[in-house]
Amino acid sequence: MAMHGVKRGQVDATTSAEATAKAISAYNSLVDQVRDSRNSNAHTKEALSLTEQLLKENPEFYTIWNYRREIYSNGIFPTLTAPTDATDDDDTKRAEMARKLKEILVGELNYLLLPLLKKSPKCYWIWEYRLWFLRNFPYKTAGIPGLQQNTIRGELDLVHMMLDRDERNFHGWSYRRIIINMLAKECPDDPYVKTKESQVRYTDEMLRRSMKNYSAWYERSNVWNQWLDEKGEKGWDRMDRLGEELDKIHSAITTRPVDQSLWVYYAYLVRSNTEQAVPSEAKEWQAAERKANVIAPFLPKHTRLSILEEEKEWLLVLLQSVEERKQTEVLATKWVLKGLVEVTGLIWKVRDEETEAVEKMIKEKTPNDWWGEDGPPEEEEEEEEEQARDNRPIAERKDEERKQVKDWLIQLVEQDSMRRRRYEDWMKSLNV
Amino acid sequence: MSEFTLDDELLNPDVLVLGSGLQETYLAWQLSTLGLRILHLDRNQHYGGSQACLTLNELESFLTSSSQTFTDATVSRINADKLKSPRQYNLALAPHLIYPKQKLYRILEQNERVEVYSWGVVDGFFTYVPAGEEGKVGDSGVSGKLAGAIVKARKWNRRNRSSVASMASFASTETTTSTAPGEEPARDKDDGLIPRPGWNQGRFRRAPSSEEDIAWAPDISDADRATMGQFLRSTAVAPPVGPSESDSSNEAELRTLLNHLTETYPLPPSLISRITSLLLTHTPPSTLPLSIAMQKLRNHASNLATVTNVPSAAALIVSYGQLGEICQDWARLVAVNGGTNILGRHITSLTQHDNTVSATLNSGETVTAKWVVGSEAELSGLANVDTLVGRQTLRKGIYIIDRDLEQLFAFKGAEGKVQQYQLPSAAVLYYPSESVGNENPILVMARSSVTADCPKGQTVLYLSCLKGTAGVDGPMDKAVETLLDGCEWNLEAQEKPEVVWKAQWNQIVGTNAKIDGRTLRLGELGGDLSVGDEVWENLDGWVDMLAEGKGKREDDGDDGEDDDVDEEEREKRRLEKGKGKATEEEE
Repeated sequence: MAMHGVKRGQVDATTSAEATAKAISAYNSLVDQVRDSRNSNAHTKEALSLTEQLLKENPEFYTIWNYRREIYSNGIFPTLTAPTDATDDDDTKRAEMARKLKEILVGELNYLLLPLLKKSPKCYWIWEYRLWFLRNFPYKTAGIPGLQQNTIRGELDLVHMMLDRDERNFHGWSYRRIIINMLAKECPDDPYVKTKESQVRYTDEMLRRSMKNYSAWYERSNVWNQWLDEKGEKGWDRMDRLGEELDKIHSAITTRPVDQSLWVYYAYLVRSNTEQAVPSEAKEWQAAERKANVIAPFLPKHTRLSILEEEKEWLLVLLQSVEERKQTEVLATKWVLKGLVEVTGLIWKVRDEETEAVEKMIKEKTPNDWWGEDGPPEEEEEEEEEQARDNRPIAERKDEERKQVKDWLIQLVEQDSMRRRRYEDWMKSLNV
Repeated sequence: MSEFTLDDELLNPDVLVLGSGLQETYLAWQLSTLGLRILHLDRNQHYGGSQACLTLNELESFLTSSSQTFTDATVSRINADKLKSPRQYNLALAPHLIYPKQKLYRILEQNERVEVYSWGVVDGFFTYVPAGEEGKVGDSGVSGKLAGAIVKARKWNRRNRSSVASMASFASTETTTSTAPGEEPARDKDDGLIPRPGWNQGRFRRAPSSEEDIAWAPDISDADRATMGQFLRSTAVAPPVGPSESDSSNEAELRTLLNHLTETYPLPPSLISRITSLLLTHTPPSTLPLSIAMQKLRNHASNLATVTNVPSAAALIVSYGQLGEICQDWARLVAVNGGTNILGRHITSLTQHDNTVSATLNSGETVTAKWVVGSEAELSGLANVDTLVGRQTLRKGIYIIDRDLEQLFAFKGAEGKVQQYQLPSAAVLYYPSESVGNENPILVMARSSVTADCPKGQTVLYLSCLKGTAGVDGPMDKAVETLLDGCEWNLEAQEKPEVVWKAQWNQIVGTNAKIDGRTLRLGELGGDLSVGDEVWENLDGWVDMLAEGKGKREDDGDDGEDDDVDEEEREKRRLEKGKGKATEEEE
């Protein structure tokens, strides 16, 4: 079932005004009941069931989810304690407790929350509450071995099911990341979370099914190089990986040049691997995983320039091919032009780096065994190809490039006049 | 022959329907919904007519008995030992795909029949590419390992390795699987375990149904990728560029698909043939009018991702009896609505009167109805019925293979726990003209045992081809052989899969209907693998004609049940009609 880009269904206009009024008044009285119950600090089963009624009607009513949390925290969970004294009927009591707890767990997750989730997959409060419940449920009291781990694993299946239904549901992706972290804490040896491989494969699969899946590309940009770090791939291997990833995104863009998700990933790939030689550290307030995700870090300046120049060439070829098809598909040129402006801007930025200072920093920060025997990539001088190398002084080249960029931005303003201010700002910032 | 005799009421129905194929049962059902009294007969002891689904023995005797529609049949039990009990086979005379957005599916939805049948999914459309006609880039035809994933040489990476791993694992089905928690991530299947070829090597190429197919195929050049992507998008949108479809006066100027693909979108032949497998038609692309081709492609493209939870699938199939199952279900509805179905009855003569038609049955009675509707098979052989026009003859074949050809039914995406839904149970393969010595293209529908067409551990291949001047049986055999050759099997354990049973016959398809006085003679359905929407439009028109104003048939929201008469009342009426007179249905 596609959730993105699908129009809402028709509202059923056939219910009479009378029926609607009746429904409204029934709802309001239910709300009153629940409110009264809360005001009287009722944390009983009856209160729970009242909230259930109301939440089924309106899962967006987040206050009531809070009330439910209160009921569980203050009223229900405390009553469920494992028998501590060693008496003969401990076992039956324990079994009874286990059964009760299991019932509550399954009831809440499967019977209440799951249908609500399926019906309103984008409701923040349902996801939040589910997480809360998952975290705060007194697993130990149940005394069932592995209950917590199995429950968490079950959540992974659930979130995969939800993502099957709507591949771009960011709640789902976010929940998935949280669950995987949970699983990593609880069962660090589980092969699924032991390495990042499964997660990379998951993005592989989602992208194989649909390359328009922005969420999958985003996930990939995080986990892919984390996996590389984990595997301990270094230096030249990482450069190969960058090349492969670029190939993939090139193929995708060539097939479908109007797709925004693809261009965003492309921009990330190019920028993150060229803009800075050394990946920036995560700020204090960011999670450790949020450090810049770079597939091939520590590249010398000349290599990064070389990458950018090659990408620019590719973009120029693409621009030509896309312009030939202009009659039938107008929008694609805009994306290529934007890419060209961006890459050229990066070329200038990298060119302007203070070579010595940067080299020094790279040398400092690069781990010792990064480049292995082969050593870091060296600037190559003898690339004699059919076309003569551009040996003009940089200033001259830059002038020409600036004219090009200005021209591209002017074209962009023409093609995409809704965003003319953006392009004008861009012209200013690039000083063309 | 049934035991009972028909009483007066049954002998004077509003409409006498002869034959129980898809069209006949549809008409009988719709008319019975409107309250008309229907007498529905079929000369066979089974439902389904030309769309019947038969057990092995039934099919053998059906093909070898005389018929004007099914002729020149040969049946061979090549390896009878390997055949299981005949009743474990449900072999279709007319294998079909059903597209969720086509009219047939909507009819089923509107009438709440969808839940009644068991459905399967079709994910694979393949084209056979003979040796020497491969595309330029990276096609090595090496089986077992994914070849052709050439990583571009990068100027900034002097130590380029042609890395097969990453690109290949992304594009193909074999090297990656998603695993569930608690499991080891599977090794790259490239290391010699049973390979799951995405069938993008060897001689078969997956037809690009989606942009993902194009983007991730390792053996298409970038230029071709761009062209194909654009072409695919164009099929979803506007009518093709070129002479307008209304300009049909001059046949010669009508562009064909082949013209269009080679001129407007310059595509190499190997890629063109990949597209043509999606057309599901027996007409060669060089003679197929562009308008029809684009319509079919548009249909295919618009049906992608419409199957819930199966984003890459384009079509559905019905398990446990295919179209025959649908025919039987609709006949059942006729009975529910008060009509009568009798098998093993046919007419021996037909006489037109002013306002009625009378027919003599093989059991002796005379039936008088306001209208008679019959299929070709039912009405042929009668003196006063002329021959039909618009004949096309297909040579069809059914091959039972003694192996579960699981590679054919692998999901395009990875398998593994991430996917909650079932694997595809049918695949379509297309052999272009001349590829196996065949004059005309050969269409193959492969169905796994999951569909109940055959018992577990076997696969059924349905072949069809326009009958040309040269013999087709040889090329058909060759086509099957190449298919079996193309399957990688675990060399340790098993030998090559073999054909254990084979049947071939000629079948007349695509004849036009004809109205003769008060007789509606239905044509045979066309030979395409999916039933076109125009069929239902015609049928609905005839329902109106046959109903003669009785009852209002709504276009949408038709319940299939007569709202005025509830179940109980209907049941009562039926029982009153004859105690001990059963409506004879085959079990």
